[in-house]
Amino acid sequence: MSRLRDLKGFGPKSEEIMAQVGIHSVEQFLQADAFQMYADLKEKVKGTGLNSIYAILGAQQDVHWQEVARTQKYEILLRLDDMGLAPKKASTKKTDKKKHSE
Amino acid sequence: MNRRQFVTRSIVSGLALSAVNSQASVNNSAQAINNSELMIDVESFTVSDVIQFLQGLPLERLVTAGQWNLSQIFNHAAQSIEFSIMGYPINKSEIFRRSIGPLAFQGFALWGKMTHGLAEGIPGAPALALDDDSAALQRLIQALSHFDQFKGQLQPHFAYGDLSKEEYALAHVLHLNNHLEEVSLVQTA
Repeated sequence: MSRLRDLKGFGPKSEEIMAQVGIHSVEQFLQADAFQMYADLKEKVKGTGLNSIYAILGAQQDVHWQEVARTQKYEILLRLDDMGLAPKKASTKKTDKKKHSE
Repeated sequence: MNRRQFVTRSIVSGLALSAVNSQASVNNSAQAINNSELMIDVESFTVSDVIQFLQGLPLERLVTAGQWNLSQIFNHAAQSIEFSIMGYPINKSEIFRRSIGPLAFQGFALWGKMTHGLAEGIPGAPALALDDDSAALQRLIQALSHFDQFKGQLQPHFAYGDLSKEEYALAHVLHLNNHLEEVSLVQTA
């Protein structure tokens, strides 16, 4: 395997995104710290969310990102919180809806 | 000031935690604990106090009267705290979490006590390990420590909906207290 796009859960888009944080090869990617890569992505790529860290860890561990989210979410959030990168707003909270009568 | 406001203020200001009917603090030696009813004072606690309380529990002298053993109780309480950080597996409907759920929590907070099925797991949660009381207690202590230190956004409670950190701390303690109603200390000679 020589291309990032061939890693589990990755594709051409992931390859492009990783290039933005200086990751160009599988070797580089596997040796890098997943959380540091995520921190770099948060800084440089707009819209980077939790799914990105799941995808990075999934690709490094050769497991589906949803499996990472299901089994490692707690530890991941604690680590991100230590780094000051845990989400600050609840994703499930909805804004007030307008009244239909208006 | 109503009781809820008082409770919330007490949490924020942080006072002490005690065992109901106890003549001695749980921080003292196991021999000094002579209360038969273990309970956290919801009107005056900090999460650190709760951790200290749990660290002082003499596992070898605790007995349960319900369907769950100590391992199940502690793992269940730990799961709930962990889910408040990472999200509950299954939530009640949004309508419930915006109406009945918050009302129930407000009632529990005002009453200083909650009631729920003491052998009912959290919807969608993994099965509770039931063979290691000490590991389960350590998991609960660690979950509380993580909760206390966590600065990110807490996830909505599966029934009560959105809670602030102070409200969540109270919810966790009320929950733990409810389960501790089935736990007593065996007196030593």
